[in-house]
Order: sequence, then structure tokens, then C-alpha cells
Amino acid sequence: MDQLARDYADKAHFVFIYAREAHPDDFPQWPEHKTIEQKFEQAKIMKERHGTPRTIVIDDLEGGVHRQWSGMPNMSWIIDHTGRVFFKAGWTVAADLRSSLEDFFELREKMREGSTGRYYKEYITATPRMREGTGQPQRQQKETAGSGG
Amino acid sequence: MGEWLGREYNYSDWRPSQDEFQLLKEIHHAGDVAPDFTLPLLDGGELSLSDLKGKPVVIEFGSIT
Repeated sequence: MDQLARDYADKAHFVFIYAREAHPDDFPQWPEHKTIEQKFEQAKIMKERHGTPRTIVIDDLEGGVHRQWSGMPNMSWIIDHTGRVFFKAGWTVAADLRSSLEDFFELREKMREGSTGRYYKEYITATPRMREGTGQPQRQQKETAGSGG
Repeated sequence: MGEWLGREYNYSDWRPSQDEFQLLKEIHHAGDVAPDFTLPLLDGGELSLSDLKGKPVVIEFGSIT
């Protein structure tokens, strides 16, 4: 995701919304948030450890924005230049976002040229990778700021 | 602490749920105006989604784990 942000730095904004810790039981050093100060502290450590060119914002303690956008732990969205939803995915996959950004700019260019084609394509509902045979989402295997690569 | 879809929002033990994914499918469809938000920046100040009009915005929700 960070490479994508670098590649499109002049063409798009990239925002990382720090939500709740998804797997505090697997990583006791990163417990669930109990105060907003703790949430900020853990987000600062995340930034220091991983670095990112993206803008980091912190949701409130009870995930007011996160819940308004469904609460999926590592979802991603593309909002177009007018503030409308262009793409949403339940799981962040950098390649999908790159492809959709390319689609966005291509469609926008066609609109400028007078195309009357459909501007908004159907969204992609990428699902969490499922554990084989269980129908349940796979747990993340490592610490990372998001999981989109 | 508040509940969310039948459990604590800031849970201490992960367990699988399809409720959030179902909700994702039902809300904010392509072409809909995205709900605006204003949140504190990690480095100080605030950011509103509506401030970013003019270029597309790629938003990822996540955490360390």
C-alpha cells in the first residue's frame, strides 16, 4: 500500500484510519484500546515501526467512523474527486486498489472526452482470505499496518 | 465500553464474524456520496474527508495487528 501511495502521490490522497486492534489476543504487546491516549500511543509506535507516506488519522475510542463504514478490520475504499464512492473492498489488496485507481483515471479521462458511458463501475467486494474448509476468515500471521502489502 | 454487533467494539479476544462484511455489502454503494468524517491527525490537527475533494482518496482502515 505504501508503494502505491508513493506511485500515485501526485494524483490521489492516501489516508490510513487507525481503528481497533484486530488481534490483541495474538499480540499481547498490542492490547485492545481502553483510552484514547493509549490508542494514540499505539498508533505512534505503528508509524515509527513501519513508516508510511500515508496520512494517519485516529478514529475515536469506540470506532465512530469505523462502525459507520461497516467495521471491517482491514477494508479499503476509493472515494472519487467529488466525494462519491468509487470502490470498496472488505479486505485491502494493494493490487486491487492499483487496478481500480487505473480504472478511475481511465474513466475520468473518457468522461472528459465526452463519453456517456457509465462512470461508476460496480464495486468489488473482496472477502477476507478464508481458512481452507472452514468458511471463516484467516487470522493475520504477522504484525503489519494493515495487510495490503 | 460500547458494544458493536453483539460484542465489545474493543474486544480482547478475536473471533470470526460475518456481520461486518454483510454490513459492508449493504451500505455506501458505488456512486453514493461517502459519509464525511473529521478525525484527528496523528501528528496534530484534524482532517475532514470533504477537505480532500479534487483528487480521489484511497482510505484504508487498519491497526498494528
